Amino acid sequence: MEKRHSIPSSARVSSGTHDEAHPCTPSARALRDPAIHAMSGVCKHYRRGGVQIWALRDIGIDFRTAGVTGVLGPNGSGKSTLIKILSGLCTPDSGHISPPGAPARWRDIGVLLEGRSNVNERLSTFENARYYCTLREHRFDRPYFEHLARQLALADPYCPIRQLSTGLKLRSSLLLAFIHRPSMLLLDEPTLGLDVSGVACLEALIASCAGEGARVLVGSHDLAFLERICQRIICLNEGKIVFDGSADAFRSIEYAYKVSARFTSPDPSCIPEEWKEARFVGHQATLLLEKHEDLCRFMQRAQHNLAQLQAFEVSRLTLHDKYMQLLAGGMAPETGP
Amino acid sequence: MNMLAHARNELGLRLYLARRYWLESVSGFVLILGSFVGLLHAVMAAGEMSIHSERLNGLILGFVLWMYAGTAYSSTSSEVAEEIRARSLEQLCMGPLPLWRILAIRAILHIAGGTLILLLSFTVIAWLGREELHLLDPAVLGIVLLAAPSLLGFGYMVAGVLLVLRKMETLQLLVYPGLIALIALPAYPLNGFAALPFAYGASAARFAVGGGALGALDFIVVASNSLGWLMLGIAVFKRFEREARRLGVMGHG
Repeated sequence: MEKRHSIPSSARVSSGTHDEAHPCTPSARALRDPAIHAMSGVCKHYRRGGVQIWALRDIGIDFRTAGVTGVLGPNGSGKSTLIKILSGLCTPDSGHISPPGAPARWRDIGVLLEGRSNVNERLSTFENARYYCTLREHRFDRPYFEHLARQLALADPYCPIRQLSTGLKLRSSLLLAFIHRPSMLLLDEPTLGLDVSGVACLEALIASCAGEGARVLVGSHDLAFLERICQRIICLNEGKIVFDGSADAFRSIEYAYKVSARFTSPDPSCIPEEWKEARFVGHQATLLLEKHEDLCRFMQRAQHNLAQLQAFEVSRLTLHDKYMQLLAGGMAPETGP
Repeated sequence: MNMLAHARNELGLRLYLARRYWLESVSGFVLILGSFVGLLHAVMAAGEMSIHSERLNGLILGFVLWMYAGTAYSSTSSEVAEEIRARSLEQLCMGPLPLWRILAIRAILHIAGGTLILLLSFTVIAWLGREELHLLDPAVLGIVLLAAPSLLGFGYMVAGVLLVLRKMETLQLLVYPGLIALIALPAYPLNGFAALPFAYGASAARFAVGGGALGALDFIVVASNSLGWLMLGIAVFKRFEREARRLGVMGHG
């Protein structure tokens, strides 16, 4: 059973040096009251063919700290259910979401569901934006619409959405999620179908909204994207939170560095002492190191044996590495309700 | 934000669609108007009837009854089916205004649009026949309008089922023969059939067109029937909406 990692709420406000480098630093944020403050004890199960499947188990998340939160997890881990519960499309079996009163908070939430264009494709982005903005009881702000269209590089926001390509349809849907300046954005797979420039546009937009104090929750399998935008990571597995903390903390649980090398010979007798704890797959060795001092010590010893190596690489552990590590370790869920 | 602002928003959506697909809108309007006026004139010519003949009034009443029944029923169920098909229903479910109210606004706009087409049709008929416009007694039109919300309630029930089952457009179509039966049932004078939606209003309207006089009791019965079915329909719809949210089917493709 793996320990659930979490950091105190005070620590969640800032994630140290990472936040300082990010455009949405706490000091830059004019904090807005989020549509959802917190959820606690939330459970949800489905029935498939008479079998009970737990989608979420005893989920508690605090949304009062600003910034971008990434939700990670393998398929079926409960990411989409979490977003659907927060958006009000799905009711939990038990648990609390505060403040109560769903219709009032829906006014202030922007949602993108499973990377799909949930819009009226017979209308243009402009017409949809105007309609959905008023539906959410916000005044339609045309200059802001044009600003969003520019930020998302939507060349023709006045042509019917059904005439657009898949990527542009998604950009239109993203615009609709942002148009009423929500205090909370729930984006499920927002990069699905977006090209490289689209992803860059979305990153900038998310950063600017988070900088204005909006809480952004992003569920995605695009780990590189999450790594660039998120200050906080929530990792789900089999409906349970197995990690909730800063992105830096997530990456550096246990290990911070990855050293990879390819040996000229796989013969164990030829492996230098400093590589003894590495994981070998044929000629390929991977060694994980916890601290910077460990890395320095290792490098000092390894430099004498470089002749035995064909390739050598040192890198910081990425979200992807950490995530794969967690999956490989079988992120054992805690006991369910 | 008040309901009027939402109604303006829904009207704006209709206008956007009508403007963008103007050919479809115009041809649809011409089709309804043309078929009604054409049929009426064909019957008049074949039977050598005047525009004030009782048989012709029966035909006009049939058109009016079917138009209101169809519009009231489909304005909720078809809207939900269309939003599901377009995958945009979830956006409506995530607004501060409850879904049933959005559908109510859309239904009112549909019925108002139908009434407008009806009045235009009457004007065209009168203009073509160079006759004074006395096609239907206001009391007849009034009782039909008063009966329409009962089918709106019925439409809510079907819309609720669609929310949970998603792909059930055949169910929506299967109801149409039932609508014809409701219009044709002999519910006047007051009998067991009067408890069914729209039946008493349609029967009473036929009675009035045949020369009978409608009393206050008839209007009370129709109003009570309408209110009862509408409230029941909304309650059933809300129940199904809760069930759809509980099952987590909202947001499914």
